[in-house]
Amino acid sequence: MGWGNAGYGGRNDMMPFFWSQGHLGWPFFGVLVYSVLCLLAGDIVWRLTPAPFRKILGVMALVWAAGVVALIALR
Amino acid sequence: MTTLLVQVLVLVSLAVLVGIWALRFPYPAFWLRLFLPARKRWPEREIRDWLGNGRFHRGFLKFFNRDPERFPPSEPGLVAPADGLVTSAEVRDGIRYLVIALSFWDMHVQRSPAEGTVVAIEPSGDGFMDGEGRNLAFLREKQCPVQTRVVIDTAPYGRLAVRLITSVAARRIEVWPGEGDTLARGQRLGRILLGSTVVLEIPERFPIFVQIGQRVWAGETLVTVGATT
Repeated sequence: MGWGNAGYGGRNDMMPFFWSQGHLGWPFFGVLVYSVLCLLAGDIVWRLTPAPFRKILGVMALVWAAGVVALIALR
Repeated sequence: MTTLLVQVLVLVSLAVLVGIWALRFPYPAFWLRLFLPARKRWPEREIRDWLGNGRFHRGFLKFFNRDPERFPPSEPGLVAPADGLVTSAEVRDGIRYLVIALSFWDMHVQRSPAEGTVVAIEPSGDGFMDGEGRNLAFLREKQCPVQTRVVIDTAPYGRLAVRLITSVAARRIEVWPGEGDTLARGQRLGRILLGSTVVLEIPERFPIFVQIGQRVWAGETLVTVGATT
């Protein structure tokens, strides 16, 4: 799948996250797509529910963060 | 290389979606409308903007001009002449005025409440006074620049009238039958273009069983019990 090499040390270890084997690193690409989908899903939730904006923002931020952590953990 | 191209294509597509979304905000972008119910798809504020500049969204106009089939109930009784919310049912001089308020998202084709013959079509102008000198200011707290009153002679109920009233923004009423035409119960009567109110005038002796705040549907919701005379 080409998720790159896990690494926690220096700058070079982060490279596979952004770039791997001639294309964007899959975790990075996943985070970008997931972030856009979260933004648009949040907009739909905001329009369809009577919940206050701040509450929706908070919940969506948590969902986004959890998704990003999960994507990075998949490396 | 192919993988990179696919990735770039996906990201550019998403960037376009976000760009359109941001430009349209707080109103929904066209692709977002697919997921929303009518009232959210075209928010009231956006419709009022269109009323100001006269440039309506084509999808909204198509939605607004819908004219679905309606099936009157088998039980006897008058049916509602319009879709909307019942906002008033005051009685003046022996006539009950059942006021139905239409929203931007209601179907705007009106229907005959009963079988009968059109005996008069009375357009009236500004203000709240009708052709018979009655003050109808109690109907709505707003000016009614254009109204048309369709008087229908029905055998069991006597003379009824359906009054089509526009808001300041609308100003156009279509009445399709002419004087002397016979109407079936629930038959299409006319249309208020972006209008707001329909009033059914019923003799007081016929009790209604719709309540203030109740939603009614043209040609389908019974508003009175059947007449026995």
